[in-house]
Amino acid sequence: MRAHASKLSLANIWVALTTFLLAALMGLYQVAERSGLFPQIEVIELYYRSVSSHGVIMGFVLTTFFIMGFGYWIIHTTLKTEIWGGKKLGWFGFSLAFGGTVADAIMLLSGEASVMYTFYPPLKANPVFYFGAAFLVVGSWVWCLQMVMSMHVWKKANPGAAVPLAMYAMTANAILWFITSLGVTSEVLFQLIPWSLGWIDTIDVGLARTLFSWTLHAIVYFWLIPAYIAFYTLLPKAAGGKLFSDEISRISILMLLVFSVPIGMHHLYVDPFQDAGWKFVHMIGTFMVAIPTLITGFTAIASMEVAGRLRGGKGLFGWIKALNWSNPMVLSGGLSLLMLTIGGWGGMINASYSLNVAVHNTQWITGHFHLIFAGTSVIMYFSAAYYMWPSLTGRPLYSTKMALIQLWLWFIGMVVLTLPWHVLGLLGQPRRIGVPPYADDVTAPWAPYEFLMLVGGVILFISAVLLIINLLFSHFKAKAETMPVMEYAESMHPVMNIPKLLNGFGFWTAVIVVYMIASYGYPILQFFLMETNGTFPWSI
Amino acid sequence: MHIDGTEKKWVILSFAMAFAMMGILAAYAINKNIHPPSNVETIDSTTLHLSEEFNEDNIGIKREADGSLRVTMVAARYGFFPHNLKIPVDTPIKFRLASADVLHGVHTAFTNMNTMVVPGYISEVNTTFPKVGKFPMFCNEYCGLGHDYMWSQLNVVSKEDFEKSMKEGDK
Amino acid sequence: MQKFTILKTVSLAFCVFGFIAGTLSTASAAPSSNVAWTSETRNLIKNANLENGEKIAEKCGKCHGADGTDATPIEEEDTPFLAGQVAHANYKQIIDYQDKKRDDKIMLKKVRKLSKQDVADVSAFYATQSLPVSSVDSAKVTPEAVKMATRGAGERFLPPCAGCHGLKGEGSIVDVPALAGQSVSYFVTTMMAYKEEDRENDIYSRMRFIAGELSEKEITELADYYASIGTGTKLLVVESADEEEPESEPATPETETPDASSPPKDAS
Repeated sequence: MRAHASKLSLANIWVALTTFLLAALMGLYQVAERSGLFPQIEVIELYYRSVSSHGVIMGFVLTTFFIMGFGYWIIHTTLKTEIWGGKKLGWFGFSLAFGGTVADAIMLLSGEASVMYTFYPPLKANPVFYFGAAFLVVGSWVWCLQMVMSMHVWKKANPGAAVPLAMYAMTANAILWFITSLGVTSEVLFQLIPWSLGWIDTIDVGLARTLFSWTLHAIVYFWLIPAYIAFYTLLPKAAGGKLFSDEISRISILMLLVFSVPIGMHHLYVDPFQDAGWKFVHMIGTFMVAIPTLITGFTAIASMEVAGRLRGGKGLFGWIKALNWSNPMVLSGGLSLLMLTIGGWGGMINASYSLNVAVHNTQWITGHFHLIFAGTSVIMYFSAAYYMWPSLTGRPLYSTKMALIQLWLWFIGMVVLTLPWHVLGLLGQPRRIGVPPYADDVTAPWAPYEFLMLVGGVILFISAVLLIINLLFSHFKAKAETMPVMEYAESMHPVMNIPKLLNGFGFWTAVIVVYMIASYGYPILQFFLMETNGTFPWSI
Repeated sequence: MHIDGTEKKWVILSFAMAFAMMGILAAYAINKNIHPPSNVETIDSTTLHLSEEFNEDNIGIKREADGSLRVTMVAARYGFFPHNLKIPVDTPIKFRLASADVLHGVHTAFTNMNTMVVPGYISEVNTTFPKVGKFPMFCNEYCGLGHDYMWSQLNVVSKEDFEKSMKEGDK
Repeated sequence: MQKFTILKTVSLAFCVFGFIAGTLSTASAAPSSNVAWTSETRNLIKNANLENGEKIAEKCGKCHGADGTDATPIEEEDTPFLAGQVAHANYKQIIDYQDKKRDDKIMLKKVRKLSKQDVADVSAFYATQSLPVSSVDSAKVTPEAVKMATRGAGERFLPPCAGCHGLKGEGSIVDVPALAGQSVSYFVTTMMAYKEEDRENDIYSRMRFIAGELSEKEITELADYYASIGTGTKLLVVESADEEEPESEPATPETETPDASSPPKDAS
């Protein structure tokens, strides 16, 4: 049982890690190209190939595979049961997703799909690209099923018992992913694939963008929740303390689940095909979804304070000093929370109904999501990997010191990369351009920030290499005498009677469905009620 | 279910902050009529140059019957047409944009004139420019290999200069 | 008697004025082309009859050369290579001749009797042929021309030619013409016509703007560049990823993706 679970987890996580390294190299190329210091690499077609590949890998591959691996390991280590569906189902899902990824990688790297991570029509990629994306998503749905059913079976076998928080939250994440990925899957299956194969002549770009927006916001919460899981269930343990509140953590996860999907239209604020009224409705939900993040911040920091004080920290801030910063999980927790604070407030501006026009599609947006996703979320993926590695591989981590250096470099690199990036957006630089070829008086103010970004990019690439070395070399260390155990944080107040609503998802799924119909029902239906003009395929 | 007192206060504070921000945005939207571009009008992008509103004779700046100003523009790979617009400062302007081909975006840097230009739909932005100067107008949505180069200049001039140039027949 | 004379003079003046105004305004009266890439128009090319196209092309060969690549010495600068040209590009130009959106008495005479399907057929036929070979040594091409073609001049609002005309000059969706291997003299004639606004069938004045920004020297250098990258191979715009390179049945290109798999070697 352990062998299968660990093999399946490691397979998924290694797909994530290897593609991550490749995408990190592309990121370095891009930031070097944009600096203008290396004219020989300024090949516009190559730049867009890189941006598309980098985006798809970081946004669809690294994330999905890492989360699946993490999820499988959570089933094994918290429920201590078989993964539902057994070996065959898990590997089947993996093969679908991996096959789709390989197909997409070939398309992207050969320049047949330079249509960005968002693949907005009417720019058309090779149809194989869309098929690959569909396989990747459908493969991940197998994982979703396994998460949900594993929890369901466990609950039946343990009536009245509280589902372990890590499992509960990751299952919520699986449900979230399934619901949100329906948007892009519909776009791919009903619009992009038939259109790219020539079965239908035109598609409605407005409908395509609306369907994509359905996925586009909640996908970032799909990425973020595993970081929050680490905050709640791994960080307090590593810090030597306890989780401040198990119930509040569940409430927070549920708020994220309910409020993250039906708010996608803040990505369409300046699109003309949706009425302002609907955009306003989505704005309200977008601010609501900020609340669980604020709550999580409190819970995480409070848990750390508990640990700090248990270690002897005194006074208002003494507990910070007392924490065990030489533990990778503790260090990453602190660094992640710092990045969450800055990036989170940036997000509030993006969410602002009337202020969004100042930043829409400027480099502020790109800076924002690198800080909040590549920073806050992904640094916790690294530390979750370090944390899981001993129990997953049966061997100690290759080097804790290297892990600490790697995490510091990631944080410093990310700050140096993204803060100038935000400024570039405020200085007017638009998104998705290579070396800015505009007039000198327009681009001159940008140059120093581009240079800083290059420095950040170099630091990040070094960090990425250290991560892979550490995790890879761990496989070759001598086996530990006793099998390391994956330990989760206990709650400060043990959960006695868990309310049903905080232990299941039936009710909440119904709430989401109703909310989705209310907030996306007419905005999608309108395209079928009015006469629209479709668009033929275009190449880049 | 036990919830710590401090945590309870924070939860309430979080809700309060979120509602306060929503409230401020709602107040501005309603009072000052500040809304993102959302006109929901369709058009056929394949016949744009044959349409009534976006044919080649009609693009550019025009004074409407009621004295207001309307700028009609087309986004097509890789430029905004007409190039080099001159508009008066402190005057309400209605921009009407359509795409002749793919998805574009247009943002006049340092202003709130920012909208997607979606094939099949007309974009409308109503705004006023409070400062005189030359503002770059960028395409900010990936539209192909020439996206980097797709930009224009918006020349915001004094009202007098604008009246002069209208008389001289500049568009 | 006096009134009548005045009336006559005024009427005559109006007529003359109206005539002049009319003549002047037809030059800039929208639209610059009647061709719109609707389903209907695209289907003409999609369903082209290549045999009919070949038959029609035999007549075009008198000036445009037997396989579309020779231009006769007589009017060289006015006669383009047609071989390998993007079907939709050829279609548009011929229709523009018919509609007098493009002013040429000879071409009007030649194409006046063709039906729209005929025009689609012959355009599709030419697209099945190979692009012309290079007629200029690449050593003659200036680095400035290469830069303009591949990197443009952003500060002058000029995208690279390759941005629309393809990384290998093979043309692009929908009716952007191939330039690779085009004759130097025809290239210069065309660009100067746009520059002087004698040619006005580019929708939204896109080429008139670009040619207006370029100097005559730059235009000549670009002509050399494009003449030097003739490939002598079939159109690089392919129908779909899984389509074979046909032998007897030539590929009928549609509105598809150009092969943008490798960056131009001379991009520096």
